[in-house]
Amino acid sequence: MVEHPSVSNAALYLDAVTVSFDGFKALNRLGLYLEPGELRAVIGPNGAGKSTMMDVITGKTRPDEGQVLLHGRHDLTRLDEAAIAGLGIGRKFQRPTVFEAHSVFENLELACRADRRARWTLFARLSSDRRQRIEEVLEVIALRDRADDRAGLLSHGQKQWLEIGMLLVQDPSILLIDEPAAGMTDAETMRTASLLKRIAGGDRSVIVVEHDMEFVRALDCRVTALHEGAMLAEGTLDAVSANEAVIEVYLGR
Amino acid sequence: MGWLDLKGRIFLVALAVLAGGAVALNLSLPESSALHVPNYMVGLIGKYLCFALLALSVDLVWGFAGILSLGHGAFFALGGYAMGMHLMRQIGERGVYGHPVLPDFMVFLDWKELPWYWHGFDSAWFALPMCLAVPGALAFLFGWLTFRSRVTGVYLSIISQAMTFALMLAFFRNDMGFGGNNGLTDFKDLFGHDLKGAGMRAGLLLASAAALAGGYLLCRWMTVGKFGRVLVAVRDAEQRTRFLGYRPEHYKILVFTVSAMMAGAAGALYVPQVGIINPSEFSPANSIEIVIWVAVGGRGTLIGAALGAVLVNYAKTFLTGAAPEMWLFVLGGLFIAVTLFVPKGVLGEIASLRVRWQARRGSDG
Ligand SMILES: Nc1ncnc2c1ncn2[C@@H]1O[C@H](COP(=O)(O)OP(=O)(O)OP(=O)(O)O)[C@@H](O)[C@H]1O
Ligand SMILES: [Mg+2]
Repeated sequence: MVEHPSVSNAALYLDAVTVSFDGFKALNRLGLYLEPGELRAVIGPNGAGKSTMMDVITGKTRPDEGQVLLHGRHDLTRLDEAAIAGLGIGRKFQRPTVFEAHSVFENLELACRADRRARWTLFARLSSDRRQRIEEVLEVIALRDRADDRAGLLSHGQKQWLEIGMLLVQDPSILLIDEPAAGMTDAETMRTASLLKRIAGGDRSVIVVEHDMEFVRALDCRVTALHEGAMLAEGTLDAVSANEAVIEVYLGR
Repeated sequence: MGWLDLKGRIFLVALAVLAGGAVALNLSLPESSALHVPNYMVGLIGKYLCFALLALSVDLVWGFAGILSLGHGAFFALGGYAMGMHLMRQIGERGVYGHPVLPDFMVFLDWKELPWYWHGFDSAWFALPMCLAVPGALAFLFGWLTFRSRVTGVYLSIISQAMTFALMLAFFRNDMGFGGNNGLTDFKDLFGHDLKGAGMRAGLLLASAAALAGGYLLCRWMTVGKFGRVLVAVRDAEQRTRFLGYRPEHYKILVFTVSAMMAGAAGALYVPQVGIINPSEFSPANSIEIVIWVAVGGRGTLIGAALGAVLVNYAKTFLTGAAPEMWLFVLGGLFIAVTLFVPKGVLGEIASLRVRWQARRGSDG
């Protein structure tokens, strides 16, 4: 790994990002460098700032300071959620959120790439290649035979998958996935890990936040450990777990 | 028209039969006949149809986009006032004071000339579009200010209620130029025909039915496709839609504006049938009542909302004849009962009964 790669090559580049809530620093001069096609796991204790980092990248929270650049070009701190999503950043929430009143298929349809503006949506028709893309994704997330069921009827794990599927149909260049394994059985967890490994690559980078160390090990990728809003360590899982500071944070108290 | 389902067709046919039948039986049979539909009944049905259209407009925003507007009465009243202004100008010299231009109340207030905003209302070509444009413009402004600031839920409801309340106070003032307390009344004719004539009465009923049908088709078209699914998505998980790249505020502004124009059309048809419009139409309680019609009929069902309006208003007509002081209690009780026992409303409940029944039959067979 090159130590100081150029900013313009980064899929995502965070520099000295600080977010404070009433004086409490949820993120404290956080930096991150994500390569195109990279799969990255982010770990850290509760309240470390993992979800806040995703909020900043997706435009939900504006940082007080710092820089967030997409492909070295787009300054994400100036854009709103919809614009950032339009640039190809997809996000799965920590708590699965799908549109419960809609069928699985319709959930994917709403996520499909299309003109998002209200006046065009009025006349929207589902084209056959989009339909085909939805069918493919249904296959990938193993929900083909539930396609016409209301999403509200899915199990917790299936909702997580559907939400990942909603990201996939958009063909995003960056996926942010917050705790995908929560509420999944061990088998589902492992299948999710291999799914995410398959998704990453080419031009598509993926950031996964997760507590489950088995899952992170299965991802077999570079790991960033956060603590109190700043980066504590970065490297392979083994290197990070052997890091003094990390051991201190996880076991020291 | 694949988007018009069986229920919708039945609704439209029933509406045509009701309106056409009432008019035919009113006009063609002598009053002595047992089947004759009396004049007051024609007016009453016409009024109910306006309320049904109003309910539809609330269901569009509340049932689908999750915007609980407690101010839709204001859009209805504005449409009504725009129509009322046209009707006032149609009176011409036949007013009590015989002034060629100024309506009676202005002469009475000793005004010398017509306020600028009354100009143009003598022409139907100007006044009728205004019945939609004025409520539409207010709704657009309201939506622009609230939805873009991401005001939702209870806060939005309260602001909408405040809006109609503020308008009521404003319209009560004589110097606003809308007849103050008394509002606009003593109308004579519309399109050159006597408002009290049999033909006019029938025409207004048919126009109300046509407006309701048109409103229903519009709502149905807007909600049945992808646009409607985005609305429901916004209703259920607004944040999620943002991160998918939608701008919920644009959807809400659009649907709110369309809905306000429907409410305005309802008001414009209502006023010539009842012969008066006054500031009490802006009263906050009116707007709450509309929401109750929709809740009773079934939120998010469109047809249910229209039926709810007719049902509740029929009960109101009946009860205000028998025991007027009881009405508000009955209405409140009705709302509580519906919320507790039929949360999906009459039509919503029937639909889910049918689903359950089909499921049972499916598992038996
Ligand atoms: N909107 C907010 N207002 C105030 N404090 C907030 C807000 N959002 C997050 N925080 C605080 O910021 C800190 C970081 O929160 P964050 O959700 O990013 O943690 P996390 O690493 O995702 O934790 P978890 O593993 O529990 O999901 C926490 O202490 C949290 O209480
Ligand atoms: Mg979190």
